Amino acid sequence: MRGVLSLCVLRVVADGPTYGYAIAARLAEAGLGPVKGGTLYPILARLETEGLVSSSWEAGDGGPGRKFFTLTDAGEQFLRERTELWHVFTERAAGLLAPLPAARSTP
Amino acid sequence: MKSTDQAWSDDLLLALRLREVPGTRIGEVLAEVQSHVAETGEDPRQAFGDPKQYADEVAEALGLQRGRGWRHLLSGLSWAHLVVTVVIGVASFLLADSLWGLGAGDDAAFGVPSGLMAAGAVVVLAGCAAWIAAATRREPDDTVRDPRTGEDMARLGRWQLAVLIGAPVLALTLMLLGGLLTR
Repeated sequence: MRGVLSLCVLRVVADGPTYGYAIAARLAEAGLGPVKGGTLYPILARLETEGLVSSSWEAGDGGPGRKFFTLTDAGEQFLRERTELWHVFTERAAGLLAPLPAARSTP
Repeated sequence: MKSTDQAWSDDLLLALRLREVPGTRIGEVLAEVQSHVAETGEDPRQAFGDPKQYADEVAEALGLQRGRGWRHLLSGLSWAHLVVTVVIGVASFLLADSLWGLGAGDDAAFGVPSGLMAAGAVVVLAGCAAWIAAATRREPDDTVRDPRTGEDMARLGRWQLAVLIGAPVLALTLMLLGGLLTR
């Protein structure tokens, strides 16, 4: 599941430079449940280490600054490829996971 | 930041240091936590969990090893470190002993005049301090810097420095006074 979550994070960043808390809020809004900081930031760190996103600190209004993440060219290519793969996989899985026939009566 | 938040942050800093995460990266991680907590109003433990486990996850995300405990850290020590530690210990003891002797008007250990022993111990300790300072300077700069301000996030505070210098000076002064009281 972590791989999918990381793909979702990348997709949120693809909508334009954004920061940790806003990404978490966007994921929650999309129905992916609350994603804790302890899960989200290591994902972002990994994406940055792999060169899929870049980051820069921007001064916050009054509060501490925010770290903004931007999709890199490599990140965009990765996102396109993996999104394609994900759709192929979910379609196949959905085909296999057809609804069960009406409940069997237990002997 | 609340004091409990600061304590959590300090634990995380130490845990990341023990996992050999570069200082600039530690600064980023600490600033991320501060920024996130300020925005959500959460407690850092609630949002990020146990500092050691979080440090393990960060290390893995950066392609580094998870924490490997004290045994791994000790393997980074050389014989020179061990020898200097023993020399500092022995010299400190002899300095304390000779100060007591100076106060009491006695000779120091091994029948050496107290004044001579004290002077010798001070020279040896100064030599060790110089060796440590030189070794530290040879290490590449790995300061934990706040990415927002460029500030050193793990600076030795004024009172910490005062305790570090004050406690041994106080102990040695008490040795001298103790010796004087025996007269």
